[in-house]
Amino acid sequence: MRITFWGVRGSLATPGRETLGYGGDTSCVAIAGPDPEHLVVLDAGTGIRRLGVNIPSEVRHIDLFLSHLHLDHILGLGFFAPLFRDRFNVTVWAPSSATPLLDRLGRYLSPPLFPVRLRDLSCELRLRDAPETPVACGAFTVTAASIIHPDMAVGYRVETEGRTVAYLPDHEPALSPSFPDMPRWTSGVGIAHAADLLIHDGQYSEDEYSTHVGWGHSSVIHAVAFANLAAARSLMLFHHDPSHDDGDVERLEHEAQRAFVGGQVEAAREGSTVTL
Amino acid sequence: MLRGHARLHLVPLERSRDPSVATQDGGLHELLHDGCSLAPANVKTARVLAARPPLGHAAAVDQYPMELILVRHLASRLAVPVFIVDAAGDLVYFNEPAERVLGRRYDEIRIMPFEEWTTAFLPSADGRRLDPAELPLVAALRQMTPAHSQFEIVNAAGARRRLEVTAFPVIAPSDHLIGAVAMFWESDPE
Repeated sequence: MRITFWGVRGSLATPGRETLGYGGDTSCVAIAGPDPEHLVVLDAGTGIRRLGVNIPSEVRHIDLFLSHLHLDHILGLGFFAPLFRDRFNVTVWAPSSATPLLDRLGRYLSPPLFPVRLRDLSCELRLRDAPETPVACGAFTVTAASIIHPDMAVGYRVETEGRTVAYLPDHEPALSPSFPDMPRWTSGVGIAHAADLLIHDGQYSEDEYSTHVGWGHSSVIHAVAFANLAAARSLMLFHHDPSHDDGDVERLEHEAQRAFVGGQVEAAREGSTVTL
Repeated sequence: MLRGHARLHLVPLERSRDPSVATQDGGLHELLHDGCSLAPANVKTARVLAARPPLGHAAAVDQYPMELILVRHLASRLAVPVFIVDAAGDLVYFNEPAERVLGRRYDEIRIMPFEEWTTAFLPSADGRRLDPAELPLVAALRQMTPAHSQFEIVNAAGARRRLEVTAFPVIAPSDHLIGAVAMFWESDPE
């Protein structure tokens, strides 16, 4: 299982000299498994553009799992090259809603916001509700669960060959009762439990969180507490705040490393790969 | 705690020929060069994580549904008594105002089976003991509709309380019933 980070920034793409170290593109993570023809992609932030132009020639099937439909997680969709090529078979999964996914995505992928409509895409496209029970996607097993974040968001658990990645990019577990003391009553624990790699929201410092309670994100200390509660084996801080430069992210990374004594924690870097 | 089990051992998968990269060590990941591909041949410094056996499926946690977590979060901040049951009908939470009415502390109980909470407080109306099915919380759960009624209970301290109770089912976006909530008021509080 090879996990590549194509976009790690939260809320808004922040290109520029001050974010060169960790990256400025918004959420997109690709997971390659044993089948070279199949790729799992988590979210379609601006980072998905570079994934699209670097996609291995063997890949034919792409399962794209959207954690939610806030703009920073879908803005790259219109620039994802495989959508415009007929050799690709793409399935887009997203949280269920009373409004069909076609209509929800169509609000962005249609004029006047975007010149191309979903129906005009060249690939073989399928739209699906995020799977609440484990679903087989090629060699992967993927499970979704609702997590605390405004406007219906899910986290994903991706498993293959005995390895597990949990992806909760936008998550505020601190709103769970008595956090972090009761696993049964904590949002996200069910899908994150015992993950080999937990990719989790770490947007704020403690001070910043105190003025953003209810915005749907975590301080790095909350991310560490959640990782401990879920018994995750390693933690990747994700969804870096757009106002944070490389120095800020590095300071938060060190703060988390001091708090996560027995495990490994780092801040996700755009363009990096982890192999499980 | 769990931290002791979370330790990972990083094993270099393939050393880069680029000394500026090869000297880096101990990280979860390493930066790839521009234009990197997902193809293994182009992954210059990928690392293997989790050398010890994975925990896998055996470690599942029976977490409450997110909607029930949020209902409890709200209830814990309300001045009105609130009582929450899961889809099986078992009592899983009541808040501090409810503790004062019931004469029991939530921390002493945590979970109370359906058969117990529906009878423990001796609910009655017009001098007649109520069948569990007549309680609004049970009706909300079974019929998946709101329910309302007035009745009396005898709390844990032996005091009689006259209550007005409104209950509603909690139904997730997937149309699954995940529990029910009762909010109640004392008709003649002391």
